[in-house]
Amino acid sequence: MASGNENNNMEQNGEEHSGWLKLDIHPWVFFISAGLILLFVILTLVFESHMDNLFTTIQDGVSYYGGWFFVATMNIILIFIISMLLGRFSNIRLGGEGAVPEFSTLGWYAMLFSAGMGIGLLFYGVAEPMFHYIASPLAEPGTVEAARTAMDFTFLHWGLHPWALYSLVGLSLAFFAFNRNLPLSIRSVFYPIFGERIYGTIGNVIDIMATVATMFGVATSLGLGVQQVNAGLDHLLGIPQTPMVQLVLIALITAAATWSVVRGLEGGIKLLSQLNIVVAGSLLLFVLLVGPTLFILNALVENIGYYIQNFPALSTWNETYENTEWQNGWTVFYWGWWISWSPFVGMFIARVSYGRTVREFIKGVLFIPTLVTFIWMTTFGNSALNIEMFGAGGIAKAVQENIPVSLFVLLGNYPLDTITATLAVAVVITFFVTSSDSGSLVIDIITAGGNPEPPVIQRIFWAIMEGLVAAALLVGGGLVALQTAAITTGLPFAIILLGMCYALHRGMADYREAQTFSVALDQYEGREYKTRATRTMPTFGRRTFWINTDLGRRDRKK
Amino acid sequence: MLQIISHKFRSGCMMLGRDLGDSVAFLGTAFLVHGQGYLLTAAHLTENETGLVIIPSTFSEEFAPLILDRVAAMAVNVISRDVQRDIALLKIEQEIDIGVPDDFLGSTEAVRPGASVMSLGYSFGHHQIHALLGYNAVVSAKILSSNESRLILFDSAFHEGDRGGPLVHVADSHIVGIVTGRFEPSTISQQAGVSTERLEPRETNVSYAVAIEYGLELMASEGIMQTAGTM
Repeated sequence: MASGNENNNMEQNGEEHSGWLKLDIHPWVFFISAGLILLFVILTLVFESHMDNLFTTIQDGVSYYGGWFFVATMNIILIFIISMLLGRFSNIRLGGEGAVPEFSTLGWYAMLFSAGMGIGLLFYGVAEPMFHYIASPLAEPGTVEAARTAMDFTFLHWGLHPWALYSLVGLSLAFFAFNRNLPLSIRSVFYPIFGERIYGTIGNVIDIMATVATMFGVATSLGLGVQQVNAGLDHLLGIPQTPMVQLVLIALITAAATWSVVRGLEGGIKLLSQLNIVVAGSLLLFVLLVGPTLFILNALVENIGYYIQNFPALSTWNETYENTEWQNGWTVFYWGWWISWSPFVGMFIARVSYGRTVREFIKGVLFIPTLVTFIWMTTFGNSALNIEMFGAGGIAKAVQENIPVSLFVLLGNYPLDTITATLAVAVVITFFVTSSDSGSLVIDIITAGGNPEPPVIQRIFWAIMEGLVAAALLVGGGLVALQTAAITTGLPFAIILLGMCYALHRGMADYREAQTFSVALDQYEGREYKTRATRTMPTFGRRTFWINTDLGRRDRKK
Repeated sequence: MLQIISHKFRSGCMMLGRDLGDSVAFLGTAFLVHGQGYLLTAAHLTENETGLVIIPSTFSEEFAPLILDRVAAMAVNVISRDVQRDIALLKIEQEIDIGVPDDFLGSTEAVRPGASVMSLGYSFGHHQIHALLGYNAVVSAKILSSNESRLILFDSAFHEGDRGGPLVHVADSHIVGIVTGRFEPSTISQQAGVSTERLEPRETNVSYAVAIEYGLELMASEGIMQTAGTM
């Protein structure tokens, strides 16, 4: 399977065609991934009524038996990334010595920041702390201790662990693409282990797993997003929250994403996404100022301290002695979701990080977005907790009934809620469009064998597929289906990530230390010199010491 | 770590000599910096550009003979010289397959006084000893010479054949300087690194190397390096 050649052929063939028939795909990865995903969609639609049960069974099974593995993997990755930050490879520059970063440091931070902002923050910002507050696994529900633990769990799920994971994938992709000139694809990371075999079956399997994981990771996010939009529209206009409405919404928003891909609105999308960050930021600022400002600021400091204090215990907690199932629906789901979502974020981070050193990279990716996320979660989560603990209450009840509506219930407690709710819906829709747009790009790059600029027609295909998968998941079982998809595709990919730690370390060691200079002396054509025997050892200065003997080594060999 | 550095760089270090027709004279050390056959060395070794050759050696982990019996000498051209900084860029004339590591050129910014460095050179080439010697040192100081050249002083005794060899930063195994000579205060300040008539080294224990950035500049102006480091 000389995929390299196949690719080249494809490219050459493609160039003979014109317009949108031009394809550049890696046939094995593209067709098998697309086949698997389509099969999933068809099966879900055919066996619609049974799927709900099946998803629950699978989710229970995977998280029951594989939970410890997710928890262990995430911690290993975090430790690995910290060791990279402090270790002897931390001054390797992505792109090689002398590579100059494409973006200013501040601009780069803003991009990492925007990678960290997503639909999930809006979906879970209010709901998650509230959930843990009323159903805490480690404290009496509804108490002060429960509130503190609730924020701690939220920080755990959104904090250093996911960003260590994205650092790993981003750093690996960037290092092997920029420093070793391998294709921008997950398989390239395994070059130190498999060598040229990454272009064969092993590499195909790795890329197929990455493609499928990314697809379900993105689709999960889109599924959550569409529920959020639906809840918002219900809140604003009274449109009912039903799967049918959500399907229509997916169709509309996917159409918008596809249209933006077709029209090549790269610049427009970029502008839109920047505008979105500003709007989301204003929403944050609004809640911070209009909400319980002092309470939020107090909480931010205390939450971070509590997070640090309990970090080792909480991040390795496996509910072993509690003998409960709480973790499966939360921590395990998040770890699975982040893992399946990691090729998407990782590739984005890799593309903007050319010219950074490993140290700069990890500092930027691990700490900046984590801090931003903490600010976001504290602002929304603690505002909700404040209302629940000291104010009118009612948010906990809303969350229990319907997660996506919680954000709007919170905003309803503050003035101008029609405007802020509209803004929130707009932000989610925009996140949806940009996620779909860039998610399809990432999948397209992988299925095109690492070509960073694949043809548009393929992206349209993947953008539509994302909409289809999200729709199928919603029809098949709603939130449970989304969570199941994330952790089920996350589990095999977790194994790949552990291999990635080893491969990256070995790749950097090779790069820095194992390579040597070589000169092919058998190609030398010219005279040879023989040492003249001398008994006097000169003390200083130039001295003739090789005598031309014309040994004729090459001739003699012949 | 020093073993790794020695292993990494030794095949890139070559003897620089002059072809005198029927014999070759030893001049100093030069080291590979590019897969197309470019090398850096000290400019004062190449004042007379005619008949310059480099003599590669092969290495093994075994004990090597004191004297190489037979050697190949490849003609090199002087591509450019920075006499003020005492750096010359050479290129091997004939087409020959050369491999260089991905990552070995560094910057003096990362090297602080006290940092571990390793220098490599054919110290006793003039004495007909063809062994590449490695030296362990710390950076004694970073100074500007009287002509504003950035110099790294390091505390190992330089030998005549070490001229033109690489100075490697141990922490990240990057080349950060080009070994130029024994640091002998009166000579340095008078001649500012440009000299045809070198005085015999005095008994100081300090040697100096010029910053690799000047070498990178020569490479950049030749178009074989994208940017001149972080200058």
